[in-house]
This record gives sequence, C-alpha cells and structure tokens, in this order.
Amino acid sequence: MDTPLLNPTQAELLSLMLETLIPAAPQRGLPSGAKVRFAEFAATKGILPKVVIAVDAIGTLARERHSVEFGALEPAARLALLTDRNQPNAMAIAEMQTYLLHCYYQNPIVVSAIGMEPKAPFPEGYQVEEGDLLLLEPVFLRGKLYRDV
Amino acid sequence: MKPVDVLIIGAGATGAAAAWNLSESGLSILCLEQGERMEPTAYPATHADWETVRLKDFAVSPNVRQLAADYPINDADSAIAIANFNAVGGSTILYSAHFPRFHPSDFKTKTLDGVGDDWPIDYKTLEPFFAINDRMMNVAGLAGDPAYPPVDNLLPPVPMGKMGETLGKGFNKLGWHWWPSYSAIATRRTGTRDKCINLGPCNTGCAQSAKSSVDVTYWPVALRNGVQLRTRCRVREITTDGRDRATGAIYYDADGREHRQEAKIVIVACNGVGTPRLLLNSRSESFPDGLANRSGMVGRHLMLHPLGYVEGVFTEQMHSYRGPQGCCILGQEFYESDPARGYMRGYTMHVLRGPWPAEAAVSGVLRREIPWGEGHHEAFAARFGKIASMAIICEDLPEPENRVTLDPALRDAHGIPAPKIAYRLGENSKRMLAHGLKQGRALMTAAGAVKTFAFGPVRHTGWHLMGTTRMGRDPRNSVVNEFGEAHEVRGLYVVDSSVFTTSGGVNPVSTMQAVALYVSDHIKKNLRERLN
Repeated sequence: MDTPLLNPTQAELLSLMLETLIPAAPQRGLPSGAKVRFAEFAATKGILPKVVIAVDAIGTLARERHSVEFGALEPAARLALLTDRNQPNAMAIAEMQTYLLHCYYQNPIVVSAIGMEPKAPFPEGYQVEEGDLLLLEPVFLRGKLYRDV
Repeated sequence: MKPVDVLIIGAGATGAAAAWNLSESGLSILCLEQGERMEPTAYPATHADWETVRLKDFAVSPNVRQLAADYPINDADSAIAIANFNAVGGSTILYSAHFPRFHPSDFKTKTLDGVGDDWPIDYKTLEPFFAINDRMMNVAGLAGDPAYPPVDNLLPPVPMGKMGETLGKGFNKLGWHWWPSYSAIATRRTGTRDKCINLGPCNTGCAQSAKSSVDVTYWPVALRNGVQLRTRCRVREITTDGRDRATGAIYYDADGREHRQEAKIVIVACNGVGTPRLLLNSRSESFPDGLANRSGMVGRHLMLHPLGYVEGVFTEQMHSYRGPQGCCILGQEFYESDPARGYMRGYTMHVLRGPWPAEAAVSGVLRREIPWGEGHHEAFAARFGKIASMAIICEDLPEPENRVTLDPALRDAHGIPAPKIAYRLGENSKRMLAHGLKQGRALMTAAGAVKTFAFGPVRHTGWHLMGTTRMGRDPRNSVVNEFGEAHEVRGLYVVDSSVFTTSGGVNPVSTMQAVALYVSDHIKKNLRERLN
C-alpha cells in the first residue's frame, strides 16, 4: 500500500491553501491550484518536507491569530496569512509558492488553456517569424559607428 | 603516464579551439577536463517541465549544482555571483551563444579614452582568427552592420520574431543602432549538424545540437585528428623544472588516483576564475605566491560585465518566449565612449526572448505585478507572451583590487583550495549601468511598452570572467606576453578570457576563442623553438 504524501488534515489544508492562492477561472479553462496534483509534484522534486512545514505553519498561524482553523476564515483573511512575509515560516511558504507556480504553469491543462502546446520543446521546436530585415535600412544608411584604431 | 608534447587543461570554449588548431600539426596532445561529456537527450528541453528540471543540475551557479565536476566558489564578497559549467564544452553548454566580437577600440582604451590599459595586440591581429572561429562555430548574423568592421560568411540570422521586430521599430523611432544578433547557432543544416528549430531554452543545453557548444563544433574534429581527451580528471597543480619552465601537471583521475603528466607545453584554459585558482595553487620554492605570480598580478583585475535587466510589457501578444533564448537583436548605440554621458566606454543592449510560463508567473508574483488570489489569471494573461527583455552588458574597467584569491578554508572534493572572489562595481560602471537602464526603459517605451521595469546589477550573471592573468608587454603589471605565454614561465600559455586586458561591452566568447586560435597559431609557427 502506498504511504500517503500528507495526512488527511494536512491534505485538506493544503488543498484550501492552493485554491486560495490560485482560484479556478472556468471562463479561461483554468483549474484552481488545488487541481494540479501539487503534492505529487512536490514529492518528485524533493520538496515535500518543506511543503509540510508550510502547511503546518499556516494551520498554526490561523489558530494563533484568529482562534479558528484556516478553513473557517474568509478568503481575504486566508490570503492575508498566506502572503504575510513577516511570519516566522515565511521562507518555507514562499518556496512552496514558487514551486506551486512551477507545477501550475507546466500542468498540461493550464498550458493548453494559456495558448501553448503541452509538450517538451524538443523534438518539435517552434515556428518564429523571421521579421522584416528592411527595418534595418535606416541603421545601415547611418554609416560607420565604430572607431578605427 | 606517457609524456605529451602539449597538455591542455580545460575542454571548454578556448581549450577546444586550441586543441583543434594544434591537432593537425602532428603533435601529441592531451586535454584534461574535470567534467564529463554531455548527453543532449538529458538536457531539460527534452522534458515538458523543463523550467523546473533546469533548477538543480543545470543551475548557473556551481554552488547550487554541486555536481562532481564542480568546485565551490566563495563569492560572498562579490556584487556579482560567479556562473560557469564544468564539462566537455565548458560554459558553452549553458551559454546563450550570443556571439558579437570586440570592437577595434576595445583593444586600445588607454590610448583612445584614457582609461583601462591597452592590449599588446589589436583587432587587426585577431581578424583572421575571428573569421576562422566564425566558420567553426557556425556563426549566424547579417553582414553590413555599421557598428563593426566587415564581418562576412555568416549563416542567415536567427528569426527576430514579432518581439524583435517591435523593438526594432522602437530603435528606429529613437534613431538608435540595432542589428540582428551575432549568434553561434546553426540556422541552416551544416555538415552533420541539424539546424535550429527554436526550442527556446538554449541556456540549459541544446538538445538539437544546433547551438554551437564546442563539444559539437571543435571537439569532434580535434578528436578525429588524434587529440586525447580524458574526462573527470581534475588538475591540482602545474609543475615546473625549478628553472622557470613548465613541465606538466599533477591531476586526480575519475577514481581519485593521483597522476603526474609530463608535457613540453602546458596550455591553461580554465576560465577567469579557474585559471588564476590553478596558478595560485601551483606553489613551489621558485613560485611561493603561485605559478607565474612573482609580479603579484595573478588573480587581479577581475572584470565581470555588470549587467542590467530591462523589461517592457506590451498589450499585443508577441509569443515573446519563442526563439533562441539569448539571441534576437542587439543595440550598440552607446558602445563607443562619449564623455558627455558622464562615464567612459559603453555597453551593449542585448535583447533576450521573453519568459516562459513558470518564469513569467514567478517573476510577476515577486514583483507584485501578479497577485495571488483574485486577479491572478488576468494579471498573468496581461504579461505572458507580451514581455520583451533586454540585458545591458556594461564594459568593466580593470581594477587591481577586484580579484581572485584562494579561500583560506573552503576546499573542493579533492581538498584543493577553492577560489574566493572580491569584486565591487567601480564608479564608472555604476554611472554606465544607470545610463543603460534609463535608455533601456526609453527604448521599451518608444517601442510601445505600457509598463517598464529595470534594475541592476543582476547578481546571478557572472558568466563573463576576464582579466585575471592579463596580457601585456610589461611583466610588472601583466601575467602573459603578447603571445599568451607567461612572462615568468617558459612553455606555459593561457588562452581563456583571463588574458583579457579589457573587457569590452559584449559577450567575450567570440574574442576569447579568436585569442586562443591566435596563441595556438603562434605555438604552431614556432614549434621547433617551443618544443626545444
């Protein structure tokens, strides 16, 4: 049997954190941050322990500052806790957020929704317009810019 | 180990060029490289999540990578953190292949502008070697650039894309110079090399092998010509005969065993940090302060190219992330000196492709342009694919107190003392950088940007490592002579950018490879004397 990455309480709290940070945008075809399998991503990148620190820190902070669980807070209050750079575990939370952005913006559903193909760059590459080299004419006509020695 | 005629230390940009140039001369040549051969199928561009894959083993800092081939660098006392890559191919594995040459004036800054020092050689001396190197490195670009003496036989330029064209119009509006980038990228199929297909992340290694790293340009030919290349071999010190003549090196092989390799000629190509480190670690009774360092000049005059970053956000979707990451167009309006600007010498405006999605999101959040929560998606959509980026590459004047020394405590995995960097920006550099950032923003605005952003110096950009075994005629204030041979040690040559007397305001690779070809050519032409 696989060992769960997080216990049920941590998993639920993490899901709410991710959803608060990146809400869904159905009109853009974009899922919330909770729907991109972040815990698995974090595990493969070796940063799951830091995610656990961040999750536990946010849970503790909610109780200390507001005397309620994180999930009982209004969205604005949840976001304020997640973006408070002065809290004791701000660095772990910031690192988690950076990896969330990596996970989110390389998720195939998100990549398609923002107008790219969900693929590795190699081996197909991309088309890029050559550009109009005639735009260089005024530069060419200016004449020599460098100094002879 | 069987003695060889020539020992080259380092298989990067200049070691490879020297090896190739000497490989047809019938000499026995051995190159020792501390890194491995790279496998293009392992580069991040072969992964859909390449933006994350690149963060560890392909990070720019050896202190982050900590691979077996890396040695630590103490750059805590430097405004700019050192970047490099240790492998067959050296830093060309990760470089962007932006390949402009020095200008003629870069070699005579003291005579022309009263700052820095003059090289003992000039552009004309190197011109034939620039041409050879352009051919070997498959340089793409466009002839007719008024900012340079004639440069011919270029492959077609890399595509500008909508972003490049938009900025080109901005340059034109201001009446400023711009031109398609000189790029060491095969823009058409050449020989056995496939052409560039715009993968994008050139600076994490080219899976297509279209970017001209020297493992796919010089090394295949040099090896066919009989050069021996031993990888995972770290040189600890260069040896001499006690009468100021280089005799070879002591190195550790892949299994950690120590070997002594004898050679008649020793060529050092370990970059502007690695080379002085090796010389300083090669102490003896004759050279108590490090090999070739009776003058005290080894490690001094470190030049790093303070780099500014400018960004413009446009309303139009330009797919700005597409194309070779570091090659698009460049501007040199402010390259040559104009004292009216408040500083001497100048800089290159080096246009970069825009960020890919993860980087666009991370930088946008860090700069508070993209909020968390409500508004996140709208703000991301307003930026992604619509950002034009530019580096301001500032000429750095040589200052003796900017230097590489040996760290008193830090060691590499073999116990060899690590380098310590002391570097601060000079007043001239600060004024130049401020000017470049201001002009960069003006360009973005002229091109139609609705928002601009600029800052510098950018810390993690210390790729261009120059000046630490400088070339000169006077042994009191230089380390090597006009032929790249150490003043104080016969048979010891340096060919990397540590010999640079000035830094220019461009990426150094083109010029340093031309220097390597010139030095190795001199060795070839004077073989009888050199070997005896």
